[in-house]
Amino acid sequence: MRPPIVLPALVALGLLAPSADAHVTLESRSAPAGSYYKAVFRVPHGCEGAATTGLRVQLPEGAVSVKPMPKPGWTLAIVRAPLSTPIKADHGTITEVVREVSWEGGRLPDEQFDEFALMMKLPDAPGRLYFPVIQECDAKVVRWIDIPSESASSASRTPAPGMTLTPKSSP
Amino acid sequence: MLAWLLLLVTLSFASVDAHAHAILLASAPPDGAVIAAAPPSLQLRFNEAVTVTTLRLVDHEGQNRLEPWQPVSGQTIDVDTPARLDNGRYLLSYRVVSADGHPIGGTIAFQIGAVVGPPAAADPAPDEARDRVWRAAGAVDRAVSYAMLLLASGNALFVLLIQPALAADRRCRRQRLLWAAIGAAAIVLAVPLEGAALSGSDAAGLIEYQTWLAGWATTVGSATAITLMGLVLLALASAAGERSVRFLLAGGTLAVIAGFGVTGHAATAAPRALMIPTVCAHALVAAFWIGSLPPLLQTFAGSESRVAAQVIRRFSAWAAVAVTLLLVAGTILAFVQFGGAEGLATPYGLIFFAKLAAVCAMLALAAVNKWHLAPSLIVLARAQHAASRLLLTIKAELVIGILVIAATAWLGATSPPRIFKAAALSQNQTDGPAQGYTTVVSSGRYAVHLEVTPARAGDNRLRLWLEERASAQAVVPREIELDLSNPGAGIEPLVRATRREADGTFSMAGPELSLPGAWIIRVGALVSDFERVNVTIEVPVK
Repeated sequence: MRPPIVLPALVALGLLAPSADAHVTLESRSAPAGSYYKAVFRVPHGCEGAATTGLRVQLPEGAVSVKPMPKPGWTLAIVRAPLSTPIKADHGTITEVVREVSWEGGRLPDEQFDEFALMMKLPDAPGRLYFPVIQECDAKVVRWIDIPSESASSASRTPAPGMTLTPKSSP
Repeated sequence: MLAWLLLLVTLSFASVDAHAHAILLASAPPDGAVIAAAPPSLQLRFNEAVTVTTLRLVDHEGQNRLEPWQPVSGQTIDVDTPARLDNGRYLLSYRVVSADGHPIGGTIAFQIGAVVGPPAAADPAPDEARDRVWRAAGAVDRAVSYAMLLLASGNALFVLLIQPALAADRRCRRQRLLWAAIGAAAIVLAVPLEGAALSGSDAAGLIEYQTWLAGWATTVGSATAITLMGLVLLALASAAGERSVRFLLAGGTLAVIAGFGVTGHAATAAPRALMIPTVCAHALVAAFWIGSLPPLLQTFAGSESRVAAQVIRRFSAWAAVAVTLLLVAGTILAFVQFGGAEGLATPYGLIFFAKLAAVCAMLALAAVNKWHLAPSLIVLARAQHAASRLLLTIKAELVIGILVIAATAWLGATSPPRIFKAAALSQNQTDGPAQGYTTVVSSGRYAVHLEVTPARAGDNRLRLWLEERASAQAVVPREIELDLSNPGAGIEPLVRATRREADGTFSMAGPELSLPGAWIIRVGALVSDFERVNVTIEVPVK
């Protein structure tokens, strides 16, 4: 028996999933709280036509064990900051976290897209999590840093990539 | 099959997502430009092909000036500028669909010419002193140019109407040439003076190209062009032969007088159809009266009393016509400029009365000449005495005439009461004496203060500052970007940067809020690299 709908639907799903939209976004936009998560930032275009030459990502509070994925042609930099209240983790106490990761010095033309990845352990509480991103294109800068708020009535043109932390699956 | 078709449709939408939105790369005229004249076409250049769904060119009255038109596609959108675009402020608002089907909207603002009229924005500029200096310099220059233009064209009128014999007279020609030359210098200087006053530049600005351009774009520039043409004709007349001299004199005088009808707040007041001819008639009479005095002096000093008597009789006949015209024109001008009795006690009113008194003195002297001294010229016994008395009264008339011209130039630099009245009227409409609109909107840890002055359609000044709510401490952001839209009037967002002031506030001044209605102002204040405070504020603009 031939399933008439299932095959096209699967193909559609497969093709739809990697589609980027006009903003810098996260590839997967939900994950269980407290889980290890691979954040993939998709950069679909440059800054008003100019080629992307740098990407800076600010890590949200509560994200620990952050490890960026190096990219050939880009210089990776990690900014760490001490924690005011150390966190107890599986393998000891964490006193310092990664606050910012940047990939600089590459060149991503406006007509091409690329992905930048980070691995991390997500915070334990469910909710929304945002990763403000600064996209640099030589002299131009686009700040994907707007987090939705009540005081800004309409949608931002430069929203921060965000994801949803779903409640932990019961152990 | 249907399922595959569905897939195709889904995919076509999916691929949509993979594109970036269209972005406006450039426009002509550029956003925020002040241009001298309406451009032949309006252009918007995008980074990719777009289809325009809405395009509106909105003037300061909120009227769309573009004809209905078919949607067009392309990377560059080019539409013909509608005919008869007056000087003023315009918003070109567009809504386009990019190849990915994503609609984007935006607006560019530009201004044609310098806007004549009451200054809408009470910009408390620190350059007020400098501005006053420029205005004063402009008034002095205007006094000199008025005097020279009236003398030169009046000289021509005298030759044409009263004493054609003077056309060949060397002294008369030389005088005309001299006046035309000084007048030309003064009227040319008026261009950078006006430009400097407009742009608030310093003394060095007088020799800058931009200053000249700014002045040239105003009505002063057009007036200068027309007047210069007339002065050249008058100067040529000094060297011309007998046959062409009359044409040159008449043409030159006409052009010089027409120049008066182009600029100044009398000529540009409504109703212009009435004001322009009235101002020209007023200038014509003034030229005839004041410009006739030096040739009259020459006649009395150098001719026998019989010739002098003939000349003054002819002059008197024309003067009667001129005085009637002067009274009519003067009454109309005063009526429009004052717009009511309450304006009489303003500085404009005081200068006006000083001028009126001086004109009355001139009229009195003229009356003495006409009814007392002129008839005596033909009485032999009294001719000698009368001629010398006439010389004296005409000289006095000339001196008072110069004072009248100075007063007129001063009036030109003073705002007439009608403007205050119009301003007061719009002030009343804003319900109360409060100037502008102020508000505070909170967002997270911060409070954003916005002040819009005067919050009336036209030039406005926006001032913004941030405060941390908990501590009430001022926070100085790195930059503040604004995005202004007026959905009610179909105005898509105008994106504007702000300037950081010395006191930590951010400001933007300009004609963007040129329409009344509810303006939506989106404020994006970058407080740190990764943190932007976004608030949306609705500002009522009257």
